[in-house]
Amino acid sequence: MEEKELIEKILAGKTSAFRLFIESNKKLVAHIVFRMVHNVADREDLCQEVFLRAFQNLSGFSFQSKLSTWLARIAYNTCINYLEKHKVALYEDFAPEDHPLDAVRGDWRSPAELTEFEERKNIVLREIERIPIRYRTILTLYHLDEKSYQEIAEITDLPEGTVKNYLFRARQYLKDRLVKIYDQEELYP
Amino acid sequence: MNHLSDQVIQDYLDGNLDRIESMRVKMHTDECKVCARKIEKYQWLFQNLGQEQGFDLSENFTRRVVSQVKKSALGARPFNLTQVLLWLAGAIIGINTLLYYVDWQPIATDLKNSTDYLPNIQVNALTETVNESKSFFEALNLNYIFLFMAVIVLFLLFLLDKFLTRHKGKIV
Repeated sequence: MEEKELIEKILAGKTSAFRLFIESNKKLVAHIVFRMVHNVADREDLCQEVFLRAFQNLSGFSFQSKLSTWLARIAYNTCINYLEKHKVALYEDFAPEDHPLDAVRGDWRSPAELTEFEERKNIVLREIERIPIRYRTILTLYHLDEKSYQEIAEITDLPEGTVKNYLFRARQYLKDRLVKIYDQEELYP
Repeated sequence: MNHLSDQVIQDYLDGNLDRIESMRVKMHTDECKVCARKIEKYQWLFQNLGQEQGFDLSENFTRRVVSQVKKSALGARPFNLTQVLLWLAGAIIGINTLLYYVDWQPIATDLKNSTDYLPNIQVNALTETVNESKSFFEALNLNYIFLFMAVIVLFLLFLLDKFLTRHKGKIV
């Protein structure tokens, strides 16, 4: 179904069309929200809020971008508003190596949840948490959602050059961290 | 030997290099084990960055969102005059049809007998109102034709509503 047709059906009140819209975009929204917001209890509510806002503003969608890009932007802005409301600093510097994770990210997780991240398969996820919010959001949009530089720029309201730069710096930082901290033979196949 | 920079390696893995540059990188890594290892590290990293982990929404997420949207839409529904008129017309026709075909006298009597606590004046007023409505309806003497006309009127109102709201939901 084309985007225009889908939107018309949603605005006409077709529940099935709206369900299709949610099902086809909920992963994208979850990626952004889960990456930006650490409070597990609030994540799903925020995802819900994103779709609610999308529905309320759908009649104003002007087809200047893809529907998924427009939705991702709503998700991004919703998270930014949430973080500002909860006074989470949107810092731009990478965390120093000796900085504990709690202080770096205003963490809400319990010690038990942090312990889970010691498992080998979560090494990369754990290190991603050290990266500033905007950087890791761009990482997620690029690698998980396979968005282009231009789309990411639209979503985050950053220049395309900045997106490329952030992406480069984030990946370089992660690679250097992983090499420095972990034994190469254990980490890499 | 000059090693490949992180920027070049990332561009190579992203597919941002042209064919000649890509071949140059490939040839270099065939000879330089340091850079070959570096590329492997980045490839491993990219692979893990692209993995879905921990992004699970609950099973009934879609249903909850739809339910939430319906609630908010109902709360925000604007006043619709056509619908109100349709309901009113339907109620009037329905009540009068009922009054015409149903004999209310025995029901009113039973009601009066069973509700000894009700003041007589209220029951009498109710009975009088019912009888007056029934008389008015009988005076028309057009029962079946009236019903037919009522259906026509309702259908015309329905068409009018559809015509007036024909652009609703459409992106023009």
